[in-house]
Amino acid sequence: MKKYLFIVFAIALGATATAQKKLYIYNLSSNDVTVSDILTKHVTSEYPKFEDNVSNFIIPAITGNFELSNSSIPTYRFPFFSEVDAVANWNRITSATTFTSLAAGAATLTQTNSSQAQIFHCVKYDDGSASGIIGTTPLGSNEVVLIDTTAYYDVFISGTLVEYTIVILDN
Amino acid sequence: MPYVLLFFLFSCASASDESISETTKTSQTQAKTSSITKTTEMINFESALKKYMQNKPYFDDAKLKEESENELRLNATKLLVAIDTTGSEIKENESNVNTLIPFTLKKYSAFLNASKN
Repeated sequence: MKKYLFIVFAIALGATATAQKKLYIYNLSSNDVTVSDILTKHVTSEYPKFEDNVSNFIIPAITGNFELSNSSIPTYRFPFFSEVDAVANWNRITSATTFTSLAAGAATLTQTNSSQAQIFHCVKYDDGSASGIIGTTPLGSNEVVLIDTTAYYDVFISGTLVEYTIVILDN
Repeated sequence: MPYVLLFFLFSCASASDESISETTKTSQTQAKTSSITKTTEMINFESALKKYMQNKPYFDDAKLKEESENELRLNATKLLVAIDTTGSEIKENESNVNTLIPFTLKKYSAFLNASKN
């Protein structure tokens, strides 16, 4: 029985690591939201992980949305090089003290096969009144309640499509 | 008498300063918020989405899961109809909440952006 459960788990994990990944941030709140960091992580190991290496950017109130996606790359790759909203540079962090700065295209290519795939970790943001980290553990959580807004994170899987989705709403 | 006149002029100047600073505060607040007024369908969808997300960790409770999904489905569908999504697109996505939520968010966000422009 355990053997079958392991096989099912391995298939599920494999599907998550290899399915096409997209990141969406919807700001439906009345506050402009400033994103300071986007972080990814390795599907099983602590390193490598990636952090954006660009200036903070604003997702405007109510109408704001942000999307990282790339339909022309192998599905196991996280879309560091996005066809929609661009993040030009990323830091590839390989230990607590070492990292390499890479252009978005090069960052995407570091994921040479599914065992090196990156998945979404979390986003650090500020809604003008307070700041939070929304996403997954260890740094983030899937619900962040601030004074003005609440952010929710969920991942929606449909076939081979994985949509990491953050929604920021007024309280 | 000149002192009374001076006091009157000073009072007027102070009152005028106050009204200017109030105007400035108001315009700063307005600059922060968008001019889009959310409709009942938008507010109800956001409320249902919030409730769904908050209840999701407790979906071991089948009744809670069903209620949350039904409320979300109902309000997402109403919003999609209100923002002119075609019936066939709604039908294609409404049965599965895992496709309905991303689909509705994309349509809703696109509609808000179009309204802004």
